[in-house]
Amino acid sequence: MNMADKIRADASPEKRLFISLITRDISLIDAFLDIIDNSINAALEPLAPQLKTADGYQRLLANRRLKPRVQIDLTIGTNRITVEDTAGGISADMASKHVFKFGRSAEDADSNDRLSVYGIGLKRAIFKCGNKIEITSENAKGGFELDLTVSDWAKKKLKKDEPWTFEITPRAATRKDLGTRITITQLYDDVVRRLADGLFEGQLRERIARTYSFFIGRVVEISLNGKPIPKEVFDIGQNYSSHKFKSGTVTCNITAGMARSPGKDFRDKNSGWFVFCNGRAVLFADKTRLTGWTGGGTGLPLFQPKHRPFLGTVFFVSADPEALPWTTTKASVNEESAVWQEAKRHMISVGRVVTSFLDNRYTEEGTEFAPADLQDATGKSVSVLAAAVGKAREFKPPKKEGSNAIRIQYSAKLKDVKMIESYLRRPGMGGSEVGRYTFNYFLKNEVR
Amino acid sequence: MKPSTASFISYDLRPAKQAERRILLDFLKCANEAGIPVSDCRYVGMGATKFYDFHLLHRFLGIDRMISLERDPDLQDRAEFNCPYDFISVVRKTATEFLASDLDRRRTIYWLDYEDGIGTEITGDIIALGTRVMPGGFAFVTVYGDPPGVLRSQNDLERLEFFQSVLGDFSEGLTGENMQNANFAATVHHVVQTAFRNAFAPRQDGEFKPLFNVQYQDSSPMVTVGGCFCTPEQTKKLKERLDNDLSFLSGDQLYKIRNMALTERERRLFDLAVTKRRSNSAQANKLRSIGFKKADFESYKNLIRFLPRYYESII
Repeated sequence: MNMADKIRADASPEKRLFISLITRDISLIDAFLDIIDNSINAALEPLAPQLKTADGYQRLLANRRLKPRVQIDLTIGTNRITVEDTAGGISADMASKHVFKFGRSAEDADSNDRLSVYGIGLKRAIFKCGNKIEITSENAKGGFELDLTVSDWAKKKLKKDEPWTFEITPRAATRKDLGTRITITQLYDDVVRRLADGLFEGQLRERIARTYSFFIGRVVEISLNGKPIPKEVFDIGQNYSSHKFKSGTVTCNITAGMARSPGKDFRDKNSGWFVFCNGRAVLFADKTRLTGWTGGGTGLPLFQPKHRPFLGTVFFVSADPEALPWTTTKASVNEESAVWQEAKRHMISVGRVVTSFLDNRYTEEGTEFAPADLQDATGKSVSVLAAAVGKAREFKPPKKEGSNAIRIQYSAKLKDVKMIESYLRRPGMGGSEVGRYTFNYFLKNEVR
Repeated sequence: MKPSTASFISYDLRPAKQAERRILLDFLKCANEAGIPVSDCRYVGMGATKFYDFHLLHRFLGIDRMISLERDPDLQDRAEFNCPYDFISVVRKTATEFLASDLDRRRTIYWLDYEDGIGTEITGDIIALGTRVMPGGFAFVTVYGDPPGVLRSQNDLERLEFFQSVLGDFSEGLTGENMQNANFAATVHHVVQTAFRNAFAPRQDGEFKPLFNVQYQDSSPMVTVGGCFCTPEQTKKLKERLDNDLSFLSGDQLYKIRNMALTERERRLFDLAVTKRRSNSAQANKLRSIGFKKADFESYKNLIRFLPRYYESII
């Protein structure tokens, strides 16, 4: 062999490690959401041409005649998970060329995709749950069946340059019962234990309700173990501030105001920032550095209980889902994304008018605005989603009324007070008189 | 709320401030000549009751859409009363409130001319400027350059602690030495520049280079930082113009307007001395003989076009 000749070094992936890597960083709840994303993405296909900007989503929101055409049913048992949808199914052709590829190439991209981004979600989700996967899809062009045992697939030795494949069986074209059914059995131990947790079903139900509040009742209906999941709607007061900006193919609407609470109290779960990408929520009630609550001069103040009425939304839209700042698990945002960084500066600019109003409610003497007054200051109720995609507005903090004097109170060492009394040659002058004298002295000599 | 100094300081005789305004005007002229038109921009400033910058920008650049922000309730009526042109709107808001609510997306020259020391309100406003300035727009911020009153009696480490707690990441890398009185204006300049760089970093529709960095002092040192948000090609052309016309504004270094307090007789000599070819002219020698140094000549040469002349007249 000539030393200048190039030889090929093996850089092929090892299946077992690959499966472990892609499933490790996603929670079970997010895995379920990934499966639902696929169904909603299919349900959105006929509407996709209208969903290229925030205005498109606003029209979708305002269209009261729109009825959900797709049903998604999740059934979770102790040893079996089933997800069924009526979203038209997947053709054998699509399945053989695109659906099971790990990662999406440029030719796999569909201009109608809105929630499908990286081409990894569905596979990762089913691999996360169990070893035996059955998929049956009925499609007008002819669907397919898949019967996969993951451990066997992982063990199977491949010849040199042989691609990774799943064996699928084509099904006849049909016009009846279109849709896809995924059944996962031989669930992994961790998954079984998590499913057995009495809280799990409730947590999953809530996450689905919050994540897809934009779509439930408009584009899809979702049920979990036979019970429909209602969308979780919460309101913001009409007195809110908003900005819009465009960066490349991404448009972004940012809104900050105060939550409209049905009771007297403001709920922690409705407080902070909510971030949506193409209508799907990726961050909920965030009060961390990620959304600008840094304290110091670089962002909003550190979140404190007095900021609990704060409610902000960030609504990103793009016909190219990869341009959006969501992470691959869609459970957060990619902090390094330029569009997220730009949005964050808008969030700080819009949000601090609200936080400074909330900060100024408190004086040394206590709260200046009673909770009832605060409710008045928020204005009439409007759906947080309608506000998120609505027209730009200005937050108007209510004017304070009443006394223009405040009480100053502080503690001082008795020894120091006595020293001042002695210096002024007025023993027994008393703490409040010393305080008044020193205050007036400073005002006269240092300030005026 | 701290009252505006306009309520108790007469701004008529502030030569260093006026020189700074004129340099800023020339900076905008350079931008105009570099292909960034300024006369159709809107101007957002803080005119108080005298509106000096508004006069200059209208007279010399033809800007005729202007907003003056007035946060002091005790001055708002007077500001409206003294407003010299009908095209100036006095807006009764703080810069923070204005930047959060302004929906006008036209190209704008913002000059937030604060009297306050650096703090979260100002860095927050700079972040907001990063979201508001359109391509071809300008942003300038002027900040008090001495330690604020609350820090005056504190030692360097106490000041540093205060800075770190108030400014967070913007105070990264600062040490006790940066807090010393003699270094304080440079520290403020560093923080404002960092805030500008942070504010515009994610923008993909242009770049912001803080090319205007000026310190002046009539009573207290004040620091102004600003620049234009434009394409890299426009920045390059602007930089070339500045190198030619305002060569003392060298990149991101802070230029200090020397407070020379010259008499009219001295100025007449300086006018000739710095414009003659020979450095040992009779005028220059005379000035040297009465104590002026090389740095005074250099400074006067830079500022000859910008230093105002004041005369008293008895009517």
